[in-house]
Amino acid sequence: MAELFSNVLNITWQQGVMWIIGGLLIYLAIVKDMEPSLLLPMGFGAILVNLPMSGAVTQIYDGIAEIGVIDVLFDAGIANELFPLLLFVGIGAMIDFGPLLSNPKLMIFGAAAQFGIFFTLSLAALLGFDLKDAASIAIIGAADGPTSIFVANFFNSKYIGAIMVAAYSYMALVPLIQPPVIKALTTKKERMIRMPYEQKNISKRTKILFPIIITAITGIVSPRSVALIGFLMFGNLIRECGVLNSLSDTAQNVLANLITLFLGITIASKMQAEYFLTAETLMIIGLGLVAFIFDTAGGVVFAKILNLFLPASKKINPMIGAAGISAFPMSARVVHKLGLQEDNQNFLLMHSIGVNVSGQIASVIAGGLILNLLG
Amino acid sequence: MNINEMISTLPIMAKGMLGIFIVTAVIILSMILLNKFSGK
Repeated sequence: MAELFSNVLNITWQQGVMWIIGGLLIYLAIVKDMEPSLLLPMGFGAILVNLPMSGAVTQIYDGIAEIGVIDVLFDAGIANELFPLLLFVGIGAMIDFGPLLSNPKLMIFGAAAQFGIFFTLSLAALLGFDLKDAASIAIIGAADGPTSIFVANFFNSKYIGAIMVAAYSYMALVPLIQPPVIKALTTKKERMIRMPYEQKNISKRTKILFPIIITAITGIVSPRSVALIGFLMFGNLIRECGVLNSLSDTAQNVLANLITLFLGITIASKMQAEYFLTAETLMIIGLGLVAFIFDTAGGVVFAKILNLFLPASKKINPMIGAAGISAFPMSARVVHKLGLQEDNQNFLLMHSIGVNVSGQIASVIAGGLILNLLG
Repeated sequence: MNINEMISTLPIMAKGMLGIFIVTAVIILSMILLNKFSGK
């Protein structure tokens, strides 16, 4: 009987804390509907890997390693960057780049809104993280889970668990994080600027050539990002080509769901108490918030600067700059709602969607540039 | 606080932001050309 319960004595208080964190993630997923497809598997995984002598992760018994299934999944899908890339095929198939193609100039805001990544890189370095860990943390500001996993894993960061928790939590919290930053940086008059939307028909040929051209340009400039952007654009090509509707549907639903299912629980392998419960984790959570705030600020301030040079009739509502972070479509909705709050006839949705999808591309480019500059 | 490490990241920040804007500008230009030449 004593042998049956001997494992109880192996429970540590740190594991108890991780159960609470796991429970909190499950609570946020179910009750608050915060990124449930990721936070729920991560929360359950956090409990799973923090049970004493958990067989889900590799354990040493009598000097012999017994490989845990979560570690098998990690090696098979994350250590070689397969899962985030496959997820990008699904995301690419979900995105309609039409609003961006209607007004390509909007893409400049996607670039400006990556400022938080580089600001956070400097801040993390200042706080004592080595450059590669600082870059892995900074990429939380990409507001794009697969890119964050790809970069953190490329740099072999030991903080990947904390980085993922921060990245996905803040993406879900975009509706809470962005409005105060936007309001602090804009006047009521600026928030009321109307931007008429001109509906343009984009040819099928343009939509088909777009993913191919983007892949070629980005791949030439930033070769390390070519897998990321290539898989994203491959998914989009499947969507737009018009002859692979069944594959497009599979990529958008079955593939994306299946990968998401395994991604969350696999990330939990890096949420074992000994790796996760550190002062650095708290710092990473804080730095992730800084990255999101400065991304938002970067987009808004850039729009305000552009307005200095534009005639009164062509002024841009600076709030759309905030949609340049990649959190799609939450950020676009936030900007649209803020516009309606100030003026119930100010419809910014199509502009903010265009900026938001450009942020998806820009965040991948930023990730690729980080890899090129520090890899 | 590691001031030297932070200072060493400033050129990376400058190159990174410049890089994003250059790539974005090329993409914008290619999209405009694409819209122009690939017909409606």
